[in-house]
Amino acid sequence: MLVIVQVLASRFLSIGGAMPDLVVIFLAFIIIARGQLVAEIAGFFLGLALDILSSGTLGAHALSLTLAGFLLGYFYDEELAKQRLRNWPFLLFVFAASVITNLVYYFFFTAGSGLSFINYATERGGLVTLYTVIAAILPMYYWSRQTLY
Amino acid sequence: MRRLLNLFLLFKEYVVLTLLVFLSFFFMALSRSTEVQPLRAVTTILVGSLQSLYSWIPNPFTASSENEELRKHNILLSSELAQLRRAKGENEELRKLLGIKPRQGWKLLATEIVGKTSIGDRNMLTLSAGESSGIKKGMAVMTDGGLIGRVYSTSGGFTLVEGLFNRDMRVAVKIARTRVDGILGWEGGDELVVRDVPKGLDVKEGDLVVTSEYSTFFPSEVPVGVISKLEPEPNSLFRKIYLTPVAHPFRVEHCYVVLKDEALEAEKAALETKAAEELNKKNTVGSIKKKK
Repeated sequence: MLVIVQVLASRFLSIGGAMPDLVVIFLAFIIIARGQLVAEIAGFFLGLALDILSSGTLGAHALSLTLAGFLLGYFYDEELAKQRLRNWPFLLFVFAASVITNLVYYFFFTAGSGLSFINYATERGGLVTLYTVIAAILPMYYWSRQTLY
Repeated sequence: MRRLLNLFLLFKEYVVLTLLVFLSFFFMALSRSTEVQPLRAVTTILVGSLQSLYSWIPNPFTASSENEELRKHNILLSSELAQLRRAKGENEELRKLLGIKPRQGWKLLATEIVGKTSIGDRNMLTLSAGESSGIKKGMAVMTDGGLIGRVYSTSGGFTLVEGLFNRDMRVAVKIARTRVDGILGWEGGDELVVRDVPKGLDVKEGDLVVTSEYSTFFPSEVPVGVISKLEPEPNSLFRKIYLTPVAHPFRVEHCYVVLKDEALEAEKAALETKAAEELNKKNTVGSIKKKK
């Protein structure tokens, strides 16, 4: 459902061709709440759904989101999960997940196309990451006022 | 067996990661194969149908920028029209004198953009017309300003278009004034780039860049952009040319698909194949003679 929203909402949410990565926000939630194993599996399936619906290279987002889930899963702490979701660490996880996703995507799929890393980082990846972190404030604010699971 | 299971449980994150990475590479290998095309068609229908549900909602940001662009364009067009009418008359007269066949006009299909998707470095548009209107994979998509992309996949009622602002897009182009050829691509940002143009060739800021006859997908002479900056490539004989596109895919709501005349395309393809075969034959005969 989230992946469909990500694909369909482009028309209204994109600024300068970039739009907040809702899938990354959700993945950050899974990493904090459920840990490494669930996060890497969820990252794979979310990425694959995104690849299918966006008509991109099959497996491209699947790989980048799986790796983001795996790497950030090392920082999973069950006791701190609720606290993290309600405070700035959630934004930090979103930021890190977005950076890892964009880096993997760039080095595996974009590097050979002539798009330089600096251009990609400033005009695509950087913009998307900034926009995603700003968008992640909304769920963080919502969770800070809710009783979580 | 139990020990093996224990070992798996101990390293389950790594085992699962290896499996998922392997699966990702497997899907990447499959990505361009023909087996995946039916899946692409299904997703085009799904995404297109969903996007058409809310396409009636106006997007004020796009509408105002499109209006502004149209107004600017209108002024430019009216001044060019008078000059072109005179030039057309002269051109037709000269063609008649030289006995050259008149140029074929483009067969355009007007359609509405119902969805715009921007994920990673791929920008896609969804059009409200599909195969049933004669649209096929690879056809050019343009606005009244110029080229905006190429048909990526189609279903019965929808079309998915790969915009110019896409890492995989390559277009054979030429400078309209001097006929200097180049290959157009996108390297991020709001500008397009033509690479590997020798420094000595006559190219100036403000020159119009159009599609070239070398392109297999696009008809020639479709405007693409205006040169905004020339940059020498360090330690090389070439330079990079930056273009401001004449039509931005994300600032338009309507576009045209350039339909191909199938009979004419088939005739052209047959002629090209025949020429290629003859050349191959000549080369083979030549190499046999040399060996002897």
